Amino acid sequence: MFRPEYFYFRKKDTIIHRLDPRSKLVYVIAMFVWALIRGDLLFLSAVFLLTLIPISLGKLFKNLLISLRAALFFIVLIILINYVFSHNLSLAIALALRFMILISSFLIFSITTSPDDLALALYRMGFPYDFVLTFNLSVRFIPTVMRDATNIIDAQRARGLETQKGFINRIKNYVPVLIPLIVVGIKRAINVAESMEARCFGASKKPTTLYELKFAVKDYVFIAFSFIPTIFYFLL
Amino acid sequence: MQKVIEFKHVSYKYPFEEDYAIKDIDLSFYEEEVVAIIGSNGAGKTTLIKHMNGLLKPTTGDVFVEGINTKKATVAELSKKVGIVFQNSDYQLFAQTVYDEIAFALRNFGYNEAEIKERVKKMMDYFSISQYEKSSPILLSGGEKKRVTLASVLVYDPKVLILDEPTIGLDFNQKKNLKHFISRLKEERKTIVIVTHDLDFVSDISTRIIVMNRGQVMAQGDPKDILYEEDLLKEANLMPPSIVKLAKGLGLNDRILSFEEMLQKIDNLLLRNV
Repeated sequence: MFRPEYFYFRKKDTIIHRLDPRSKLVYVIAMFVWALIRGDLLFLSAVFLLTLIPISLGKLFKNLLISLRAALFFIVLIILINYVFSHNLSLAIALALRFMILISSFLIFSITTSPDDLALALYRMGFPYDFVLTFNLSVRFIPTVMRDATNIIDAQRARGLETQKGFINRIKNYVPVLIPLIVVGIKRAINVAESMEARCFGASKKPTTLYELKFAVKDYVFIAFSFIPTIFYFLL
Repeated sequence: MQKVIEFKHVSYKYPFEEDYAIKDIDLSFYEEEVVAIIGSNGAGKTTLIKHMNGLLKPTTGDVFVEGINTKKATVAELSKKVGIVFQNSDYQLFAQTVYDEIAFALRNFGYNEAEIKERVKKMMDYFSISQYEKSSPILLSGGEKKRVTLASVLVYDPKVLILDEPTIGLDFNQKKNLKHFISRLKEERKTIVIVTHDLDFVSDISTRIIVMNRGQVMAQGDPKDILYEEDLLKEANLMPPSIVKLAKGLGLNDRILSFEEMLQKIDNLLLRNV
């Protein structure tokens, strides 16, 4: 069963959670580049193993396993298609590993970075405040919408709605879930907008922020860590 | 009285949570009872009621509804016996008309259209919402929505009716009507479970009160015994109902919970002092 709580930010006290979002962004971009720059099994295995270090430091092994399980269909598909067309098993596995590196590195960013910190990072990187706020609100409301959806599904199941019977039925039966979800979502959006306006939103073009992001030694170390595959690149 | 629902050593832990939401619950609910489950936010009240129709299955222990283990039945099967009206009406209203909204559960349970029509009409009369038959339920007022949600559950005549925070958003008259309606259901031998913070509402209609705190049952018993225990309520982060405060303020020794009884008592006191 799909459990959304495995895929969004949850507060934990680990060194990875405490990192500056910008250093994690550098890490993700670097890992994406490393995953795409070479396509051989040895190099990609080394990079994938390397991504397990921050996963372990952030206590995210369970999340990684669940994400990989969710992506298992695609992993198998990548291996099969590539093997059928190239008859090269190591290449097929390497390409699946490339996909797994993308999952593993992006997980570090998505699960350990709070939407507030991410918005602050974007703001400090020069994005317009309105854009940052809209982005932040949409990310922050994901858990709320998930919770609403769970409550609505419960309320409809309590009136005999079967949500787990067959593919077509499942889609048809989601109408009684989607309509209340949209209604509740619009109501909440109106309430949030009114409450923001009542607290002078928009009065200043450049509002100050409650917290400031600061790069610490650990952030520089993490960025340096992102470039370890350079060694693999020349050695392997 | 016949036992309808039984909890046997039930504990439940939500995925990713460290602590149990409810711990080692042993409870029974009987026919013709009006049971109020009270407790502060996070006490485990909603988690408890979601076990009664199988929406949640116990992590450990068992829940039985008329002898059926909820782990071995679907939510739809159990919902025929146990109806839940959730706190927020907006979470369930979706149909184009009030008629279709009330008929929704009956259609899910496979009733024929003739019977659906008869039952829906009866419910609309019962709740005085016949004039909205063709209106969108989403556009009704808060009190009207609440009546539609109640009708949409009662229409299939469940043996147990669970009301989750039923008084939120209701004005004085609507609360009075709801009280009257609960009394009528009790006369029909139904079991009514009310989950609430509103102790004023349940003080004179409940036959038993269960106090929950941090996922456990702190106390249960006669409303007069529970609601006059100030220390117990304080520990559960609850305020005594107004009638208890009044009785204590007047220095009465009797444990009075009904408004009429209190009026009589005050009358007697005034006569004595004349």
